[in-house]
Amino acid sequence: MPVFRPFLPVLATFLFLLPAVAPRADQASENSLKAGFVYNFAKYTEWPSEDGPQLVVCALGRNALDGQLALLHGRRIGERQLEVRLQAGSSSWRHCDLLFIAQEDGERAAQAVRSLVGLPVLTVGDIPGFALLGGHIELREDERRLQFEINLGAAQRAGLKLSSQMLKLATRVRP
Amino acid sequence: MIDWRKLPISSKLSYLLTVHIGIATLLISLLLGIYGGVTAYRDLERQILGLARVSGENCRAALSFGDSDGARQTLVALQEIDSIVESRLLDREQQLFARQEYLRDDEVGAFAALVAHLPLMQRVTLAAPIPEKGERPAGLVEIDVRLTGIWVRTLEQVAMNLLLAIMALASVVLYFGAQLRATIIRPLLRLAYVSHQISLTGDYRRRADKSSEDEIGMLVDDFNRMLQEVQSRDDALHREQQRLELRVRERTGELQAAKDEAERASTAKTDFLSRMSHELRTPLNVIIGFSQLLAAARGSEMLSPQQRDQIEEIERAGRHLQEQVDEILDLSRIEDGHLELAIDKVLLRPQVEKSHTQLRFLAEKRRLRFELDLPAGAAVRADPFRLQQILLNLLSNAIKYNRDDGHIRVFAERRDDFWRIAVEDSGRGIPAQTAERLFKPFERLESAYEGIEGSGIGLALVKRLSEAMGGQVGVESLPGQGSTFWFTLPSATVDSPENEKSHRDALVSRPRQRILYIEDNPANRKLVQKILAPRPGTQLEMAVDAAQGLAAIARRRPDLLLLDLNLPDRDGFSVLGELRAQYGADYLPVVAVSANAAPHDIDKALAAGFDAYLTKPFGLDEFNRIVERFLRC
Repeated sequence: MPVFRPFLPVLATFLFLLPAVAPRADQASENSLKAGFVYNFAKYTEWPSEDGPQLVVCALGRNALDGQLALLHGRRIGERQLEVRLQAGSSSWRHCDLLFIAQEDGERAAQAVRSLVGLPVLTVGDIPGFALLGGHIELREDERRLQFEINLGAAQRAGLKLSSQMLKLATRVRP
Repeated sequence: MIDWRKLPISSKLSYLLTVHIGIATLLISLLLGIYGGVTAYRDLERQILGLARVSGENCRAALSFGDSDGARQTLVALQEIDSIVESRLLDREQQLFARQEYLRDDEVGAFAALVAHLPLMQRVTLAAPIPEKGERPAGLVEIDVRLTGIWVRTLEQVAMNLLLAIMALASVVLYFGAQLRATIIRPLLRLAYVSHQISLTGDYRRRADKSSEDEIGMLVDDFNRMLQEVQSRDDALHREQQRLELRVRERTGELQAAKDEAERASTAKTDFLSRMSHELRTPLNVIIGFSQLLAAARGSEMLSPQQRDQIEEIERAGRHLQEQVDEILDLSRIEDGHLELAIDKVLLRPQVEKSHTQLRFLAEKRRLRFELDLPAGAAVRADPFRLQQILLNLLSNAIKYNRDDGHIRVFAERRDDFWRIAVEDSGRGIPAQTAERLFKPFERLESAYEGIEGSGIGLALVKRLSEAMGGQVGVESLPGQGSTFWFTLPSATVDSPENEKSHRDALVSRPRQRILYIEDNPANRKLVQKILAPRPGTQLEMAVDAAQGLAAIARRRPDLLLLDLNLPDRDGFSVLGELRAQYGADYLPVVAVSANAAPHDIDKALAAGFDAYLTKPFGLDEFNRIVERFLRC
């Protein structure tokens, strides 16, 4: 997307320059960081069939992460380009490659996880206990740091292959 | 400091070998060391870069998620690589993302500690990016590597190489040196030794041993050829020397033989002359003596003038014959070196006058004018008898070779320490070219054809006599005008004539003195008796043999003894011996009387102790001189 091009360096700086240990100044920067994490999750995940030029990232809410998630739209991971779909309905979930469930959509998390069991859709939840619930990756804030927990068994059942490097970075990996 | 020029060749070669191989091995060791070091560094670099890439890959996610702890955990694994000191992870913006230091022990050992302090590149930073497909690198892994280990190992390697090289070099030098010594140095040393020995001993028969066919072998061959050459020259020289020695010996032998022959001839001549003079003198003595007696005898006035002339002619011929014999004897005596000279101060004028008086008769016969031009005090150092001989010879020549009515002039000039006495005549003169021959014996020029008598030895005798007395002779002549013969004698200062005279007067007034004559020949006894008769101061006593004579001496000591050497009972020498033994050497003067006139006879007698030697026949003058000599004092 030509419109995004000038912003990419800015975004990247925003994403990577912030030391992981540095205290987050505000909510915006935290959301931005979360969006970056989602991007990286996609980056370190292999899908069973990576057909098509697009990697579809869906979100339940219309303004996920205060719009920060939408900014991922058009970014590339290898050959594929990210496509962010907001307000995704339950019928369209199985067509997503990655489904992000924000805190405000917590009540629908169980439903999404259940409906997507065994399907190659990476579920990322910004919800405490999401991994225990059966979600693949759970974002959590420990000691004022953004961390994540992985439910490896669920991901494997879904046919997703998570990078060992990412696994190494997880605070906890459930079998 | 080593003096390079004085080193033996083997040392020189060893030094050269050592230096060159040493430099070569040093360079090779360094090159090998550098190569080893570079290789080790390359390996290390490859290893570290590989690790950096792996680490970077492993940090990729951590970098993505901003998890610096995770990244550091990855970097911690590099602890296993000993040379890594520190590693750093830089993010996409080259900002430090994670950093890990590794605690390292120092390299063990003193050498390593030393190396660590050397001003070498001790650390290097190697960096590997974390590639991102289609984007700029996701980050950069920097690894600080310490190189001490590589340096230590490289330097150790160099040292080891050097050590090995030195050992190899030493063995090569030793081996090559030994080879060199065996193949070059030893043959050369042997050659040098032989050459040195030859120069010391001079033995050119020695040869150097040849042990190879190389240049040294050629050197040895050339050396031996040179020796051969020297030896053959030496031999030739030696042979030549021997030949020369042989020739010298032959020549010496020949010369010795010639000398012996000459001496034999000389002795034979002397003997012959001695015998001849004896044979001639004895009858002459009688002839002259008795003709004198006949002329002086009482009643001789009864003889007719013709008889008187005949007697005079007999005496004159006898005297002439005697002179000739005497001259020949004198000449032979001079030539044999036996002339005895009684050098004294002699006044010239009386001598010349005396000679002239003797020859006046001859001069007057040819009506020659005689001039005498001598300074009154002129005196020379000479034997008066010999001087008289010279003067008589020159004067008689001047008379003989003069022209009738001519003149003779005798004059003397002082020249430095010599008197030059000259006799000038007015004869035909002598051509200059023949003048030199005049003074050689038996050269009479053309006078032989003129019927002028003479043996031709007069001038030779003059020359010999004047030279014997330290003078010279010469002749100056103008053909047709006359000749001047001169001789020189050393000058002398003499007593005045007055002294001379008083001396003679004193002699005359002496009392009578006794003379004993032992002689078996009655003719001689009679002659002496007659000679001494007119001397008033003497008294003669006779004895016919030795026994009678000795008895007379025993009775009364005579003032003078005349002793014939050939007595019937004993010879004169034993009589003399007995006298000397009995009465002592100075008891009385003894004069030997003998017809043996040879110089060696005279010498023998004088050596035996006779005070004088009187040869028979003796003239009045000769006899009187002897008598006066001994009775004067």
